[in-house]
Amino acid sequence: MIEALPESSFFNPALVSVVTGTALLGLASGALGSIAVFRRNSLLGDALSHAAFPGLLAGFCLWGTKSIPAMVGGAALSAALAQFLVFFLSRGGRVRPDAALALVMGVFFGVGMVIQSHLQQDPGSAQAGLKDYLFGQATLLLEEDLPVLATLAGLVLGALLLCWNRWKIVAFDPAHAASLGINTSFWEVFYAFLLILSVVIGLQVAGVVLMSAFLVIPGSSARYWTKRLGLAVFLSGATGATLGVVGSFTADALSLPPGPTIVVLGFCWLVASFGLTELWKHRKARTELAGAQSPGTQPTETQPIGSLSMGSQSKGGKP
Amino acid sequence: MTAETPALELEDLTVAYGAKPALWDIDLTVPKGVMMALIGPNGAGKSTLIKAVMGLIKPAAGTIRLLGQPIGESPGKIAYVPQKSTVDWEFPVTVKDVALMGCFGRLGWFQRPSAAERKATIHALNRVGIAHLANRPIHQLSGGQQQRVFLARALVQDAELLVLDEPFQGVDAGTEQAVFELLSSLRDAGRTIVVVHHDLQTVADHFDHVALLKVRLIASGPVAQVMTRENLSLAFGQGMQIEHPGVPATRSEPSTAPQSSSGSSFNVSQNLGHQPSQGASP
Repeated sequence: MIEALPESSFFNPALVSVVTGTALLGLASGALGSIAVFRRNSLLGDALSHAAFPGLLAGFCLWGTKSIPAMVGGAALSAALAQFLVFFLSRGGRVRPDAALALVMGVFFGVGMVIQSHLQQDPGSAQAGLKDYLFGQATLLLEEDLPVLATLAGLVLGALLLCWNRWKIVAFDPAHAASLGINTSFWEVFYAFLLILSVVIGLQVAGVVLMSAFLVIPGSSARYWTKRLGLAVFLSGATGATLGVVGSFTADALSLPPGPTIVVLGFCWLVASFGLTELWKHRKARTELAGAQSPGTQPTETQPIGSLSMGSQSKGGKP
Repeated sequence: MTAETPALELEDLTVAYGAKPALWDIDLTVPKGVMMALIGPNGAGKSTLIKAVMGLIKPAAGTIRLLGQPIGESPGKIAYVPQKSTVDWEFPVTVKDVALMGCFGRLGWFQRPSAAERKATIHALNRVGIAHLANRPIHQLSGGQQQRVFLARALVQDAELLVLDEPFQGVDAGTEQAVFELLSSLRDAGRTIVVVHHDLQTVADHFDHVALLKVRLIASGPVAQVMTRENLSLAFGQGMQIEHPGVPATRSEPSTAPQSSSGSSFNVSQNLGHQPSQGASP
């Protein structure tokens, strides 16, 4: 049966790897990135992915060949350094957090470009594939990459699900969390660790430039659909995974690169989310207005006001 | 006042941001079961004092004891009601979610709130009069309702000491009244309450204790002893007169002013009033 599969392009094993890989990455980065989006810290993912670039190339330089562990290690190190710098710069209050992010992103990426131009002077052909990390090359995803991506997705989802109460309170009100004795620094560092991990692993698929879209689009679109954090994070993960699947198939059918296709489709979904929820709100408001105007439904309209005054009455009665 | 361990004891507390002291050598005792107002001009260090008590900033010197124990040993014993502006009200959570977070300090990493804790949350929302908003996203709330959510969260936390940072800023009169009633009922149940307060006119109406702060502690104790003309002008300058016809307690003050306790604090803070920045040099 497995031999029969390659005949249909739909079940082409290479495509299966691409689809599964992008879905796993979409799941992890969507769920994780949504928390940064809700904390108004969306730029962080962008800064980290740009900051991972010089480390990746430095790892390549030091090893001299395309050694994945060296490159991933280098990328993670430089992203972590960038995260620390952002924290350090914005701490004193002289540099605003957004400025610190923009600054770190630009400087690290600049260093990356310097290293790259240095590498290109080298006549060796080993640096040929390095451009893929700039723009991503999801079609290069192999079956061997899937366990890494599955581990990432499992780690992110496991951490989010198991320690949900901590993520929630630290994301919403860190000062309150600290006053309850929760070690907020630990959770901030843990979050940064997971984010750096997804960015570094995602670089090959999405590339430096598009990685932040993988982190930000699912959360931004989920925000239209729900006002509850748990559901929003779940929806973001699901959106990321779905975009990975749909985007990869679309890219394959139209012979487009998967990464950019996923991002473009994601943006379409974002616009659609806005349109659909606005339409729904508008319709709901219209039916409510129509209901309020007809005399028969007036009692239901006064109900909330009644319960509100009841609330203040019960307190007024206390003294 | 009594032999009972005070709710809160600050000893020689000094907090500095860089070289600039925000609080200088504070000795303050808050007896158990009182409702205390913390007043002082802008930049007097009121919020800093609260943050130090909450363990959110590290003091440069001094000790803070909560019910006789150094703070940090028993986190969660103080419920903190921050200023409304400290959180992002667009964050995707509901009223019930926020109030429920009061119990998160008691949960382990992997625990979920129990049914009892969920019930306590609804009860707390009822007490602050917003149970009907339980499932609303917080961005739909008015200023007064936002303050009530924070108060409900503090109730769920069920702490010995309640600390509120300017809870009446941008809040409607109805909420202010309701909050004061709730706070007095908590005080009557033996809890201790400290409120950073701005409205000098209402201090005597609602509080039994008051601490007057201007980097140093100018005076603290029962309202009638502290709210003297001298103390207030030390804190707020000569221009700041508190002529409040509706408060007889402070009216009788001039006669009690020469008391030794307020006299000594007068001297201490007089130095300060003229050279506030000099505290940095030693």
